[in-house]
Amino acid sequence: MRFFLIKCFKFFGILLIIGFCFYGSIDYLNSKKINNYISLIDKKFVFIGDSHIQNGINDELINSGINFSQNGESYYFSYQKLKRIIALNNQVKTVFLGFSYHSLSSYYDDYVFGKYNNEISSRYFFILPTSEKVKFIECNLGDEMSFLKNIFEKGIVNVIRQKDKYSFLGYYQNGFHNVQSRKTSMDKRIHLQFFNKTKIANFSNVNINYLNKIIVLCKQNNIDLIVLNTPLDPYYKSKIPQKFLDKYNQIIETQKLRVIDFHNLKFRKNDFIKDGDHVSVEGSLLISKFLNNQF
Amino acid sequence: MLFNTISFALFLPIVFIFYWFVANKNLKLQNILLLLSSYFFYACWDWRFLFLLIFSTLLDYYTGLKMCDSQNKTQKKFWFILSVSINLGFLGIFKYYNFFIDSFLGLISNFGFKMNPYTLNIILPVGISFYTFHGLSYVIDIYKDRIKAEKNFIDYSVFVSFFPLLVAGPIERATHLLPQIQKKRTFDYAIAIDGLRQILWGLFKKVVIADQCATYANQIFNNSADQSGSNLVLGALFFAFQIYGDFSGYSDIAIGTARLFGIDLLKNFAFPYFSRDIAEFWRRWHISLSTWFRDYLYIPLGGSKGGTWIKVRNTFIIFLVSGFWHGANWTFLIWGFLNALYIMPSIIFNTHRKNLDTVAQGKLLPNFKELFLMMLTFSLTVFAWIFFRAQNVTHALSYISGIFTKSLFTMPTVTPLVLFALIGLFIIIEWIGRQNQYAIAHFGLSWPKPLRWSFYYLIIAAIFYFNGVEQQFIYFQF
Repeated sequence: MRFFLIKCFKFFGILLIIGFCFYGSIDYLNSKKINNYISLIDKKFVFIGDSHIQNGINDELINSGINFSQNGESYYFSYQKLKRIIALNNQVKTVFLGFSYHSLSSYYDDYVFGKYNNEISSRYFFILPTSEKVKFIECNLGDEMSFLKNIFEKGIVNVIRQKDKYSFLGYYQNGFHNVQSRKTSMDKRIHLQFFNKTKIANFSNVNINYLNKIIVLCKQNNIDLIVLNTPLDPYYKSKIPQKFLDKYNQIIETQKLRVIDFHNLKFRKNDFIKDGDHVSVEGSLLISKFLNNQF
Repeated sequence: MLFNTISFALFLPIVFIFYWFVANKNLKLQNILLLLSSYFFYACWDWRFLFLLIFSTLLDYYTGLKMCDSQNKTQKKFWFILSVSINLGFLGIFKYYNFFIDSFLGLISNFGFKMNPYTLNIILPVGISFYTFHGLSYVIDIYKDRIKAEKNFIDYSVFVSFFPLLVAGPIERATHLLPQIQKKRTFDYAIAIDGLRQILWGLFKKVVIADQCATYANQIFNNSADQSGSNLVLGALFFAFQIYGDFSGYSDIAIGTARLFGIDLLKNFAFPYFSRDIAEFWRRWHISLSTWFRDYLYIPLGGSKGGTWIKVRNTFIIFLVSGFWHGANWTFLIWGFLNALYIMPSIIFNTHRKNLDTVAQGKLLPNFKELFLMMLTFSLTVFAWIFFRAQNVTHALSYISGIFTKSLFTMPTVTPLVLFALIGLFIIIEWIGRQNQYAIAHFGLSWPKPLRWSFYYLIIAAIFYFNGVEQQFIYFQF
């Protein structure tokens, strides 16, 4: 029995050591590569946010800007990302942060510690501080194998991939040509984002809390923060519950945020994709050119 | 708690340590520990059905004792019928009630009648078919005077509920397992190491082969109307490997786990896809169920005695019952019926015991005839699996008619190359190890330790990498 246990300890011990070394190497290589990349960015403007900014801001059209947005990115992850960028790069002078009505909805909580956390948090795992990493490991107990697999997979991909395609950083991406908004899709989208079954959804405390943290972080580092509210189809906007419109205005006022909401631009139906919530390639062209002219 | 989760990876060593270190000196304590662990294991799935398991255990334990104490045959028969009726009654309610009601409604609606009877909206208690069959074998053996009733309730409960076999077998016999529970177990290093190796291979089969195949099999079966004939053939092949990897993988993990506790469970699979005829396939597939039906249904019905027609009748009965055991759906009955049809020629011409040895024994490769027979048997089996996997008979028939179209001769659009490579590698390893208890039982044993361990680490890495696609074991639903 003693011999059996010693052998098991040896076998699984070696396995654990291999596992930890593997993890350590991935962590080290990721950090090194990410830090190198961020420190070399020579841009004044950084665009951060979720799919609204990812779809909307074509940074190839903006001379001094770079788009680091990703779909499903909550302010929790934007904050962690921004902290890393600010710490490593002193070229960045202005942060353009996506801010819209849906950013306040509790549906976003699913993307932090909720049902999508396995998929989303594994993207950002290697830029998180250890204490936050532990939180996500705890959060995924029960689905730990798939979570570990996800972080290893994304970690390896980050090491192998080209520098602008890190899983956590984000980039401009929009494949929606010749499309237009549709009422049925917009109704579905509104329901998903602002309703919990039949009731109006609550506010997302996590997102609001981390929005405040981003504001403080920018102030502390003398970085201008401008919030970008990308255009919405008028039908979509008319369906947003009033409480979210009020909360949005209240935050803008109390935090004295500078807002760009593209109200002076004219948008057509084909500037939006089906859900009326995101811009198409045509819409993206409009707003990116506008921003380039302004800044 | 599934075998392929971290929870089980933590649960198993804890029970193992307590079993050999804390309770080692005392058999009673060891059995109590096994029982409590087994109940905990089962409760992790759904604690409410634990009461059903305990009730079923109590019922068979009590009726077993009563049968032994009976003064005459009538009394004995009474307790026997009571036990069998309640056991089958539970199975009937939980597994077959809705099926019979729906089938009855379908039938009477053909005559213009309409009814709205009460249907049960309940989930099937996991493992009910398995532990019910454990209990049934026990009471039948007592009734037939093959064994005496077990007086120790703990020992009997461990026999029914031993966690490695509780939810998906192998279906044990009291004559095989109870004596092992009653006597003191000693730790055997070689057996324990072999058990660990078997667990590892079982996990590989489940996670790397079955779960990966499941992704494509589900994709093809769930959208079969839009698939080409060649894709549909691939779908059926994927399902064949899925169900084999899933169920034989489960059995390997169960048997390996039991060996860690010094308990030897019945072998459940013996490389069935290398069979040269259907009779051989059924001697190698789900062996514990096939032999259960042979001993408790086929032989009591007269078995092979009484001429060809009796044999034919009995064979059809056991295959139909076996199909029905798998689930309350006509597809399972047709699957059973097809297998009965397949085996008929060898029953009629009395050639069903022709291939008792392992194919190409002592040789590296099979000869052409063996290869042809294996391919033929495998193809027939895959064809029958279509019914097993389909949602209903209409789905199965449309799937089959979809295969036999011109598109059968087009290139399949589903081409997961990594999975093809994995299946190829899997077949090679299984072929090499086909004369052993499980494929890697002797694989690499003569290699230097670093190389052998590297092989095991590679398997673990593959399990880790491919984990997370599909977790539930197919046979949990039975």
